[in-house]
Amino acid sequence: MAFSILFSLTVILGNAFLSIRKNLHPFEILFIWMVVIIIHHNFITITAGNLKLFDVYDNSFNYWTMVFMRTVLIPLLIVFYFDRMVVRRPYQKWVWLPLGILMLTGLEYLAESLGVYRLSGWKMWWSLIEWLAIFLLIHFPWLWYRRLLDKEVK
Amino acid sequence: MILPLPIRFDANEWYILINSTCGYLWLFFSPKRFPHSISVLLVLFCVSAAIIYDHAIAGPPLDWYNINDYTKYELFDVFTYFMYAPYALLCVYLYDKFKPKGLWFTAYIVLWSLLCVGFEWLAMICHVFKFHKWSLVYSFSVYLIMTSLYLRLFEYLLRKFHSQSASSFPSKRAE
Repeated sequence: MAFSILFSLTVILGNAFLSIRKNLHPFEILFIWMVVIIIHHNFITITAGNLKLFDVYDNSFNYWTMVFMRTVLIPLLIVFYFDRMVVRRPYQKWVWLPLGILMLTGLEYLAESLGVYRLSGWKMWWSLIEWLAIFLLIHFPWLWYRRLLDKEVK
Repeated sequence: MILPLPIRFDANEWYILINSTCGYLWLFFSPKRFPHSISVLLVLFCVSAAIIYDHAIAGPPLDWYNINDYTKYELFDVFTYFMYAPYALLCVYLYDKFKPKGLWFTAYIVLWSLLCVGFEWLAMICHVFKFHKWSLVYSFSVYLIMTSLYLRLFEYLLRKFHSQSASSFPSKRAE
């Protein structure tokens, strides 16, 4: 059930994202997508594998749901968020940031409720800090890449 | 420790360090053939594909192979992912230089996949990879897919780059 719910959510979001006019350059979308994958995979492997703060591997179906989440759903949500925020003024972006963090924390809560993984030591409120850190870790490399792209496209 | 250090600094660590140094020296001193914005994406593609692939099948529950000294994720595993990137860029660099067409394109992909398998065989000898339920024959098929995808991605990025002018860079109000 977890996989079908998360898969449906991805298809809905994917459709929504494909049908809007993008504010980000396609290269920026790819850049953010891949940076999210690199940062989040490392984060999950360290917290679940090394520190044992999550239990992900009850059965292989849950495991592949988790792989799907971190490869498609989470990067899609973050790309969507950046795409909407890029045209806003800086103060508006900071105002909307808690919404992005809450959305991703909510997704983690949903995955936990659906039994994709169990928390064994991880506190749900730590997710707020986790996502804030991940947003910042993506934001600054993205700004650098955006300047590089801007310079080269001209 | 969050990311454990090597148990002993031996063949696998030297393999990673020497290969990375050679690769990145080539990368920094090679003449520029295509925009840096494309090179960055190609490096990221290579690293993220390796991470998705290794984290999916090298860790529990599948555990088809181990990387470096521990079964856990360790510091040199992170370096391992970045070791591949310059060689993947070399593949694209030579592809762009010689532009193989028709059957030569297929031959180019097969040749690079064989080179990658050789590279992985050396890594196995140096204990970077320890296979349990994996073999180099499987790696060959994976490299065939990845090299084809990689070169197609490069062609797409180059086409997209040349087809977009500065005016089409959408959101100037950003940051």
